[in-house]
Amino acid sequence: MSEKIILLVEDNPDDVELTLRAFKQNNISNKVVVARDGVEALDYLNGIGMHEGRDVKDVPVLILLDLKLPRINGLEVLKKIRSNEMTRLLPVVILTSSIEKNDLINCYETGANSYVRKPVDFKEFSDAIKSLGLYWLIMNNPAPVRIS
Amino acid sequence: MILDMRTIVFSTVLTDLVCLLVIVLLWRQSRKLFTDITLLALDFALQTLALILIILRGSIPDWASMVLSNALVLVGVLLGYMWLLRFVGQKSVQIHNYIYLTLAVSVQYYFTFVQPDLAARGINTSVGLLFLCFQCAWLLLYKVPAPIRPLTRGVGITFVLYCLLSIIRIAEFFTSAHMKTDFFQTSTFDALVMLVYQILFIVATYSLVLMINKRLHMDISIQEEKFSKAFRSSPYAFILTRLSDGKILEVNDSFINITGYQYADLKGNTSINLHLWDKEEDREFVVDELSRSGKVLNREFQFRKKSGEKLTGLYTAEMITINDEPCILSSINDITARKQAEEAQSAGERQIRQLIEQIPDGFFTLRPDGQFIMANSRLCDMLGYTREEIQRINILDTYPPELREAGKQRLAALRTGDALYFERPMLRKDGSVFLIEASAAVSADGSLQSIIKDITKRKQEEEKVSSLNIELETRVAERTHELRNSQMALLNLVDDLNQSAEKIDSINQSLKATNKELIAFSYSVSHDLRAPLRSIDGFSHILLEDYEDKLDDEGKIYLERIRRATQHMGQLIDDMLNLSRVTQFEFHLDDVDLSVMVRNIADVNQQRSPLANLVVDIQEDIIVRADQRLINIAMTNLLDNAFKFTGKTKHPRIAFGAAIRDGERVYFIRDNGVGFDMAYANKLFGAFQRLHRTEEFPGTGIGLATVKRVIDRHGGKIWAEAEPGKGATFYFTLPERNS
Repeated sequence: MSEKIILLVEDNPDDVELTLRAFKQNNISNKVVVARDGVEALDYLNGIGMHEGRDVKDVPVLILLDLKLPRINGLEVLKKIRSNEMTRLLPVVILTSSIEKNDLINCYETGANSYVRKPVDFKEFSDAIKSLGLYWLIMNNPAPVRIS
Repeated sequence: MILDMRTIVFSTVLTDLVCLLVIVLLWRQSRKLFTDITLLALDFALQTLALILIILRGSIPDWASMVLSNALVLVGVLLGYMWLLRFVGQKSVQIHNYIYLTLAVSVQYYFTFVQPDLAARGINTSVGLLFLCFQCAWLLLYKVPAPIRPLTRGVGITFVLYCLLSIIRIAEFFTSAHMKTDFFQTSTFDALVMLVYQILFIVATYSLVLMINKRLHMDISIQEEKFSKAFRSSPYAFILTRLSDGKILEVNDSFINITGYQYADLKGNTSINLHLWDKEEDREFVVDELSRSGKVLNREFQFRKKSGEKLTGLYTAEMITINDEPCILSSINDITARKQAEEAQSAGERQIRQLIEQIPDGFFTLRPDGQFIMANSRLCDMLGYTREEIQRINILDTYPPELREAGKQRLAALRTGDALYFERPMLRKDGSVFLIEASAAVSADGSLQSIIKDITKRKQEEEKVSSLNIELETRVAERTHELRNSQMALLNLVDDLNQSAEKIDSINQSLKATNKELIAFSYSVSHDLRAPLRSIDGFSHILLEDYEDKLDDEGKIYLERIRRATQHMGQLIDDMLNLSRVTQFEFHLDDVDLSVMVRNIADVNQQRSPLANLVVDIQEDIIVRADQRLINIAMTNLLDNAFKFTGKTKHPRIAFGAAIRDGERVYFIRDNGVGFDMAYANKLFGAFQRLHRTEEFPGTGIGLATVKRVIDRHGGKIWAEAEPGKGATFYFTLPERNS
């Protein structure tokens, strides 16, 4: 119940590095949990596997989700998130390189809240992260957690 | 009573004379009618004479008074019989009577001079009388045909009485005892007999006269009957008129019918005042003619009916005398109808003749042997003969010599009644030959009729057509052969095409597959290539930031260059993706408002990297038929370029609109930027082709290639006009909305 956690689901270590740096540079000091693939992400959210024993009621306040993930891809993860009562209403921002129409449609269909294309230029990337953080962590009011 | 024979004989003579007189008068009256009545007259004359001779016995020689007288009696009766025969129309040869008579006379002579016997003489005479009277009686009562018997009965009976008397006399002769030597010294019986003879004689006279009279009446009756009937019932109109004034004495029923007059109308009228004759002079002529020759035969005159209508009549008349007045018995044969028919017939004949002359074909008739009877003028023209000449020649003369035999056979066939239709060459008078088509037949009166038509021309035409046909056929055969070859070639071609089509199909299939792969490929590219780029750029940035104080200027520059390179690569990747999408996307035409689209893109661009003093001039309501996404890509690229190349212009001006160039509708995007050298215009739309250096104006060189691909896909054209330093205008066309 304490701090607002950001769950970053990203398999590329460089991208992880850059994203974290971008958070830091933009004074976003939330705890960032990194899941290196879909399985890890779901384990975390469900408190199973490598995140065995975690308090699932402690849901992240924002999920940044890449699409191209090994094992279970981002769309699948999104589906799972959206089908889980606990996490169904969580804000999920798709953060990916692709701007393919199909990806867009499928993500929104499945219930993504936002879709941001990762720029190549770091400056832009940093700005994007800043905007995201500003919006989703501060401006946006997340849905209250339902504890059933 | 003593009957004196002499006295009786004498009175007999007197009565005989009277009777003779009667008969003579009768003879005079009737000899014209009954020419043979002379015989009867002679009969009576002889009878009378015989009696006179008997009376004069003693005064004249015995041979006269005894032999001759008896002979005369018998001869007289015989004459009478002969007349009777003629009177009843039965003639027969009297040889038997002649023989008998001679015999009787001989016997009489014998018994007068050789062996005088009064009785014998008496018997002889009586037998003779009996013999002859019996024949008369028999004739008149039995031999005559039944219808005449009433006429002859009277006289017949008289003769029967004569016979009876004779028989009685003969019987008496044989039964009487005493001899008689003198005729006059006879008994009462003889005298009675004589008396009876006398009475019979008178009776005979009366009955003969009556018979003749009756006969006359009968004849008149018959004549009248005949005449009356003939007159009454004749189909010709009979009229009996007086010659002098034309008074109508008698007409028959036909006259009534033909002229329309009634019997009442005619009474007391004359043929003149009734105006029966159409022309007065006709009657005068007739009267004249009758006076001269007594008859007029079958002359045609015009008469007038009661109604005034004229009728044409064939007039025959004869003069007859009635009550001593000359009269005309006329018969009129109404030939009006016949005349009309004749007229119609000759009119008809004239018409036919005209027709024969008018028909365009030759018409002629021949005798059975082929000699011409008549020909119409057309035929004469055809053959070159005159009408007169034609009638002298034979149809065989119009056959070329070698065909004459065939012509003869043809004539023979026609004579048997066949109708023929044939073509043959015909010989003209001048020896030239032409071809005819003929039909010929025998007509009702035995002559041969024929119609011919000159078909030389037609034959020539037919020949022409025939040869053309043959030519045509060979040509057709040739063509068909050629066509067949072409057909073969075509079929082969089709086979090849089919094979090619199959190949194309399979190529198509593989292309589709390749396309799918490409789509997947681009997808990967958009992800996989970008990530490392991001890393490169990111960490270069971090390096620059975090190790700023550790890097010298050059190091910083290098890192900057690394960063620029990665960004360029990112842009390249995006552009290439775009370019490939242009051909991948499904093409879907819509009405697109270019003005709105251009404005949107310009606004976005301006917001992203604003140009100072930018003026954007957009014509409104330019609506085109295009694929929304693709035309968007094209417009985006064009406007990106416009913005890019006016980046260094003080007062950048970008315009979009539509115009008419060479009658075509063109759209343009114009800028007043840096422009380019038209010498390199042909490289403008090549992929990766750049006309400016990257340091001056960044770019991948793919943008315009993409635009061209979009416009190409729409079926339009794109070209550019520019001047270095003045700006550039890009023109493009899009197929019209409704095409």
